[in-house]
Amino acid sequence: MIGLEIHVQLPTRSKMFCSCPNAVSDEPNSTVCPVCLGLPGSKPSVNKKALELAATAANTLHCKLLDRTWFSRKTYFYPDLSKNFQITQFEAPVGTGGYLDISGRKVRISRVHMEEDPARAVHDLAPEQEFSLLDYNRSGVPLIEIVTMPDMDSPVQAREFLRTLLDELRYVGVVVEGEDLKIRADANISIEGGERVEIKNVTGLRNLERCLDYEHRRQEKLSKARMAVKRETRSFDEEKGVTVASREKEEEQDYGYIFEPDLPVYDLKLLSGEMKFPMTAAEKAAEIEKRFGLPAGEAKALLLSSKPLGDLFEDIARRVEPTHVLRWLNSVVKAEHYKRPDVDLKKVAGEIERVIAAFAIGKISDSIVKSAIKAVFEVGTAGELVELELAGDALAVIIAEILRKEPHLVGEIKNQPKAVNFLVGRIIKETKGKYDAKRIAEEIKKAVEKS
Amino acid sequence: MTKGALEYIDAAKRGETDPSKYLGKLMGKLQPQAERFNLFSCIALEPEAGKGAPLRGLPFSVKDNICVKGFETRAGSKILEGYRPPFDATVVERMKAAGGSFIGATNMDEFGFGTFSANCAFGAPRNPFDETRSCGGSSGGAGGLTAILRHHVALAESTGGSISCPASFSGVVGFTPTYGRVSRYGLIDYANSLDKIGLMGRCVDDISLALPIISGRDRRDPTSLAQPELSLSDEKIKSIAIPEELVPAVPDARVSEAFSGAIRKLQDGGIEVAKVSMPILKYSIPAYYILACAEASTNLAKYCGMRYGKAGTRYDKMYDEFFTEVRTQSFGVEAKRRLMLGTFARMAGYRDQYYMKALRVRGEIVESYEDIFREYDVIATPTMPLLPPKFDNICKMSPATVYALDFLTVPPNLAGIPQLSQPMAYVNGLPAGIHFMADHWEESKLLSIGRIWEAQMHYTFPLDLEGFS
Repeated sequence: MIGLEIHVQLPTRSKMFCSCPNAVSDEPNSTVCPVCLGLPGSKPSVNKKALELAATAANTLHCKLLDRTWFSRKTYFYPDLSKNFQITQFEAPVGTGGYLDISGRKVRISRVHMEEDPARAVHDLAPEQEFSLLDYNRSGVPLIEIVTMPDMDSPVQAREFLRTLLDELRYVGVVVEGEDLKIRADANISIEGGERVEIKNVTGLRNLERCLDYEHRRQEKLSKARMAVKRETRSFDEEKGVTVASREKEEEQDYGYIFEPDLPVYDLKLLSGEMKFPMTAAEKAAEIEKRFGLPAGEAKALLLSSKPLGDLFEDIARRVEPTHVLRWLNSVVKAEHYKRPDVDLKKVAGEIERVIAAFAIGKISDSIVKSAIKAVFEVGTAGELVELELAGDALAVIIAEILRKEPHLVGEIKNQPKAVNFLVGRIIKETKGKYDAKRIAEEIKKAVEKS
Repeated sequence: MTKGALEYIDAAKRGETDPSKYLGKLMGKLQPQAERFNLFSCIALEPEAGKGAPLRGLPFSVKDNICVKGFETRAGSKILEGYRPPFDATVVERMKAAGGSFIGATNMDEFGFGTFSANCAFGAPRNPFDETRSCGGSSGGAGGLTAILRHHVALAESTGGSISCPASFSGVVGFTPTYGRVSRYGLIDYANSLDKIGLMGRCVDDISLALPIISGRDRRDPTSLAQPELSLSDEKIKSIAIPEELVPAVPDARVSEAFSGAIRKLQDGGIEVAKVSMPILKYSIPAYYILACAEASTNLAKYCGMRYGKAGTRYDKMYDEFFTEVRTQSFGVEAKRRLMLGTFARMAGYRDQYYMKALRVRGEIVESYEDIFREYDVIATPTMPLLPPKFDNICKMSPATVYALDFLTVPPNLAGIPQLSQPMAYVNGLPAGIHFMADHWEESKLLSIGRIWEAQMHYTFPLDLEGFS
């Protein structure tokens, strides 16, 4: 069984309790002020945007929103904690009792609460260095902690859960691209007959997956060898890819929670009434599927992968057969979009539509669609690729595409006519012998002369 | 009638006095006296005269727990030695902007932990009425300074009575506004849900002069945002309620007699006086010490020998040992006692029994005051149950005895209602104070009753330093 406690940074402009920028800075201790440094006399004031994002996350995870939510102080002494207490939520978190669906299974969410991130501590810089470094740029960055019930049966399910969670939260704007590298989690994992092991502070989606895989195998091995799995806290060694027992004491920490007296009580019902929650990916997908008559579940994968792609779909599907639009957006367009995140989808929307529309009326083939979309992302237009096929000459299109991508070939062939043979062989191979060598050579010569 | 700050402001307005000359002369006279009574934690050596209306350079002092930019601010504690805040507290910013001249930080009990200012790491301020006696606490330096300065207001702070008590012992006027009326941004916390920045002056006019300057919303302190507008208008005071459980518990008959006399005078002036019952108040002291110490024990966690204040030295040790060294050496006995008490009260297993229960008691105390204020304009009691005690006696008192002496001032502080302490009598040359309380946000009623009382009371002060001549 696996249960997770996940920390996600909220993409607000300023920090949670002060107006310092919530931004990555290369210069340590540059985005700090008396509040996030915890200087005597300073006081926190809540960033309303952070509260709204937390409420949005709770709503997306189907949590109950409390009409009264407040903050608490969790006291523990640690050098990365500027006040030696953390402002967090204890009795009245933003959301409770929610769930997230993965592959037809419900993973229950016990709570979603807000807290401030501590500073970043760098220990063990080098064996001979006896000091640690602290960077308070991260101090006071708004976080939400999402706590699940132990509802996942395997590392595979945990992975699916985390990916879905990040996708859903990205769709509603609670996390931004790149959070999968920063996400931090504590994982509780146990197998039948064994005690629960907690793995603390794993950073990044990829490491979480590796760590759960390793720990699961470790526990199974122990169990097969009829050895007991001890109840303990472990940590994950990213380099070696193994979990190791922590030196930490196993006793329950007593944080001595009190209400945070500097901050008022918030009425989330009031807040959520004022702010309109964005539609969740699931809600939006259901709406789109209904509107465009798509089979249930088809649109969701697209929406979760990227909100701009979802918007693009809605736009093009109004004019072009939605099943085709969905098919191409979910495959080549998505792949190119990931490969080239700098290309603004809105700017190439027209060209993408032209390609898919040409396909929809049977004008171009699958392979031309692929080449054309790639061209759209590479040079901003599908150019003649969509038109060429109209002439019924697929071979010319293939040749044109190769020469466009490898323009040096034109010169080589002009200078050294025998070089044609190399290209002819390559095209026979690529088209699986669809055209004969002589015709290919003629077409190449024509194309080279033209260019 | 006592003339306070307005006497100076009028002179400055008429151009009869030059603020920087006034300040120069005053500081020359003040320095030896302030040293004699140990009133300042840190005096401004060459204070800059404020400019502009309404204060026109009027001197103001600041309790040592209110941040002044670039000025050593220690909250009476060794652990903050060397702390120079990079910012002004909102109240300091507003006083400076209104033309006030900052003259120094006044001594106090360490972090506000005390009734006599005897828990000040830099020595207890001594009462100008009698140097062998306490000025009261925790804003003792502010009280003593107000007693010797003719034209000045003190920014002080009360958690459980730390303005009213020294006002009573030092024979001055102390004003504690409604919780949330004055921004706490820049106040070094004792117990955030109880801390209130307020004022000390020589007469009610001093209070009405400075209160509108320091009041008002401040987005840097969210607890200041709920306040309605401050009114200073004169209100008719028809009735006074006296909690019948409290006054008979005053051990010093001279104080209770002076109080009865004062009430009789007010009654003769046509104000209805009624005894009321507030049985819940008997739980005030335990509820207060649990809540205040629970909050204080989290506030004091940040002092660990890193980042500011006293620096730790044991860099060869683990963090626990590193901060334990600084904390052991630099916190005073009372701070350590309150840290332990407060930590205990919020520990798992005791939290419900102490911390949560104290919160419920506090809620009931608030309701009990609301009930009284539905029928009466103000409540009155003596401010402190005794005259300013001698240091020789103070050192013989147990902590529990000292805590119990706060039974008159703690209840209104738990409720967060505004309070005014004024001299009501002089017994053997020592001042005794009367304590008025009004409902939340009704500061105007307090100022009104204060003016009524002042019309028939002649205040005397041990010294009358000014900078005119």
